[in-house]
Amino acid sequence: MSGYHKRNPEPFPVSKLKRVDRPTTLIEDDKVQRVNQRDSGFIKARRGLYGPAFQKTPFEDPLSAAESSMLGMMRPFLDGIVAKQRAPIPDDPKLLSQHIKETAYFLRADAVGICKLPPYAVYSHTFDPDNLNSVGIPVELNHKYAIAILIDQDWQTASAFNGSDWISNSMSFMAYSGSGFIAVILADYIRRLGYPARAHYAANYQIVLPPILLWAGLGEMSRIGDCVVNPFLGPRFKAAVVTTDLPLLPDKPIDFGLQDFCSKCKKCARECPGGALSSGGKEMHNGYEKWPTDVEKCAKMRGSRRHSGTGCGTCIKVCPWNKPYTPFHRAVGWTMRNFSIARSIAIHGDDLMGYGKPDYSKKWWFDLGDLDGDGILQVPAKNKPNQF
Amino acid sequence: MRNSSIARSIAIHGDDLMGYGKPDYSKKWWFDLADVNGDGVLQIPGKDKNDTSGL
Repeated sequence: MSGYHKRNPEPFPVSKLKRVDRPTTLIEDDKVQRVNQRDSGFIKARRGLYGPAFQKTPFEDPLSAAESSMLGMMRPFLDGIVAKQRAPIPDDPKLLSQHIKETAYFLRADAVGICKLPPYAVYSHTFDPDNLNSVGIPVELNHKYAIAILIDQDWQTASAFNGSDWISNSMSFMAYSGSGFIAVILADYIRRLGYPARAHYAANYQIVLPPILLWAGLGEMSRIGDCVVNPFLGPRFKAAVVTTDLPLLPDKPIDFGLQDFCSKCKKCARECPGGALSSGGKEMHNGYEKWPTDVEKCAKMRGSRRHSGTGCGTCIKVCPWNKPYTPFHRAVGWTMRNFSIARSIAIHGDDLMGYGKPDYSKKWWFDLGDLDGDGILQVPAKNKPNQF
Repeated sequence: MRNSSIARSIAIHGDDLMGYGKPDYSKKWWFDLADVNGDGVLQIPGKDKNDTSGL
């Protein structure tokens, strides 16, 4: 175990970032109310509150349909029986935190952080899939800690897509299923060690992600609505969480200058095809300081059935923090994290360098959709024949 | 090594000389645990279940 003190298993140097005592956006802990999952954008869409056209999430493209199918198969393994006796392991929270992080990296996580589970980060109710318009299923989750796991949605694909074409949904669900896979195994492992643990991943969350990612030191709140941006992945990730009572040492929040950056940049608001993002200032909402988002417009854009693509990640595509981890971008990222003037230069430089535009020479996927819902894949009429 | 026979010969001897193939225990991050009795209770194999000295 002495190796813990000698090496760093992180793909990205998250642990070397500047740490602060609280998240860089105000959270009024005593004023935040637990929220009902049925009031989130996608569930409102499924409930028909945005009109009948948005009630069914379109998985028209075959890859995201396959990824989503696998997500559903993992559902029976979210939680389970805890070993009747605790394993003979040290009870040192620092060592156990290192061990859990290393286990998550071994399982191919891209970034991992730990925090105490804020009570307000637990949904009051999860939606009831059998009765969408009921108040939902009450959530009782009293675990002490949350382990957050990030999975990269892939830079190469992100550089090739236009933000809302036929790979967009697949990028999301690749990272949802990948992070979910890790969370399910990690939670099962912790239960076998003799401690309660539950995995939370797409469609099976009992927790709200943003406050956990903030407290776990994996990012700062960004202009992209309720999205947390990571200094190495930008917004190009999805997250899963394991909540547990295994004694752990929480990380601290990070400050890499994102509040200054997002207040100046506004590129996501400018490029959002749904007009959902604001170019104005931050507001307080349910005890959180954040840039406001028109959730209905975002959900309609991402959930609409159209023949130009499926899903939408334009904000992810155009964010200047969405970059590859090359020596050049590592150097630029370091200056952006540490100097305000560098952030101003980077905002203008990003447009000048042509970032945010699709590089179709890197396109590797087929534009295919099950447009009629009969399992027969077609090339959407608006798209050119599949060529490379 | 993929393209030169002499490079493969050098690499074969060099691999041992450089000490590859031996465990580097300074990098060990896992616990040696096993469900020895099949009852879901993890123990340190070959040791008293309460002995944590080998972790």
